[in-house]
Amino acid sequence: MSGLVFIGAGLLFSVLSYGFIDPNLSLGAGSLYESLRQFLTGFVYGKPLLAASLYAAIVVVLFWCYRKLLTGKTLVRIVSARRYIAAVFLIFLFSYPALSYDIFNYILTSKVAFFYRENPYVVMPVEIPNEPALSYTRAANKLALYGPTWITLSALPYAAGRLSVITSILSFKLFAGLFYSAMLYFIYRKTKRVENVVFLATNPLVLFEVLSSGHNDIAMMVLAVGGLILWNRKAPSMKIAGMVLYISSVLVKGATIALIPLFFFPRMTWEKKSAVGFWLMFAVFLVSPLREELYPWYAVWWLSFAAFVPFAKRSFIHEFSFAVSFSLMLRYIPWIATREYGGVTPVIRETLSLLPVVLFFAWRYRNALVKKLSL
Amino acid sequence: MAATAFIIGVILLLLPVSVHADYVLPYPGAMPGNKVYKISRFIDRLKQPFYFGSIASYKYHLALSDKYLVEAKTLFEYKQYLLAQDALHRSDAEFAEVPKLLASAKAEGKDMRNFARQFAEAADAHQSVLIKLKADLPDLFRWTPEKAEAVDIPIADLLGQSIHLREMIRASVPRL
Repeated sequence: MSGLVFIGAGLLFSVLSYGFIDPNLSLGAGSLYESLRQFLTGFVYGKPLLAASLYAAIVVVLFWCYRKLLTGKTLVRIVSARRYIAAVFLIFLFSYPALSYDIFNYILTSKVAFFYRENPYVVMPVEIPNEPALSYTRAANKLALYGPTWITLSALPYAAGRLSVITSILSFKLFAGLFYSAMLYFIYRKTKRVENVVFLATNPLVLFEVLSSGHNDIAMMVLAVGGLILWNRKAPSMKIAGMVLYISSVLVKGATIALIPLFFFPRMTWEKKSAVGFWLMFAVFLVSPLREELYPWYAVWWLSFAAFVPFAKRSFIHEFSFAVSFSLMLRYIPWIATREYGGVTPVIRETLSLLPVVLFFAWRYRNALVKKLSL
Repeated sequence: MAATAFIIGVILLLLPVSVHADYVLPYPGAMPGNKVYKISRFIDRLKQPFYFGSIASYKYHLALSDKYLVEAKTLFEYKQYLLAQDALHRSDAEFAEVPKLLASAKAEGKDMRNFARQFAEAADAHQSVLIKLKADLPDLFRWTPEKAEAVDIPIADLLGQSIHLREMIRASVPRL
């Protein structure tokens, strides 16, 4: 049952997401499209409190079902994991990137590099004022925010989707989806456990941030994890390939530089490396507000490692990942409700994202206390 | 009286003022003779491939023209005329590269009006520096190196040519 509810909530988000379309962006023509767009944007922009409440309800339902999926046997009973993951993959792939404008930034940066043939580290998109995408792209007044690996890789989705805005969005989302699939393959290859795959594949945060918003953090993590896996092999050629992949990962966003220590402990087991990798990436995640702010998609960094930690033990890492993932998805609520980044929004955002984590530790403390008293 | 003046002063400070930012030339970097001067020149050349694309190349050549002009100005002021002459030639050469980059960027479909405006301002800034130098410096300088024949440096002509070059290019900017 929870699997079907999960799919239903995902579908509802997918429909709702089209209400977040930027007013300056048109994804199609025709009276049906226009009436649907007006209805959905009228709801999201016109009734922001209701839209925020609906989003919150979807998040709660998705995480409730996700927990059920992880703790029960429901998943196995309903459909095979592969079909189930394929279903949520498609649902979120075809949703509109409602919660972030980053995908438009990726597309425009690629266009600067591969269409205008300008160095995106020297020329800002806004410096080409006749570029139509400027009207709906954020951070166009910045030089390329990502490393050369990502700029180079983005040539593929850019070339595949350059026909229109909608094909560009789909192409970049599908590209993120390919890395998502690669990560699931790595997880199954290393753990041989479906639960570990489902842990990452159906985490609502991962679905929102990777498949819906198309964030490139998954590309960075696939290159880093792939690099570590190859580095663990004995053949020197594999080690070199592993190092190349790892350096490529660092040159996506830089965050995986924190994983360097993992290359210096050849005898450390993969399980141990996964746990250490989790905490290293979590540490980078925690200090990320020093640069900008705590973005929910940065959770992909440590969630990727959490998925490799043996799941059967129901470790602290998995419980903690669940709580933090949930809390991070709540951060969007004040923005949807107010459409503002300043004012009271940051205060509510921080409160909302701290609350589940505080409750999680309180619950852990209570359980430990009960256990102690019963002894 | 002092209190009134203070209040008027505070009010004047609080009043909104419009600020016009002219084209700003850079501060002079390493000069010939400095240990890092040759490295700096080498890096200038090394950076060129990084500035691919017509807009990036425009930025590269204009930045170098600015840099070498300021270098020439400083050297002229310190009466290092031979070195200054070389820096001025380099500035001219870089400046002459810019119009074709603006034109090619426009041909590529890029709206270059903002850059054309910026370039015109740069030309004005360059010219005002050169005109001031021409007014302050001698028309001709005979430089006599040790164990070599004396060389005449026609400072006024050099500066005049540089001013003329910028005038010509400046005049072509509105057509871009």
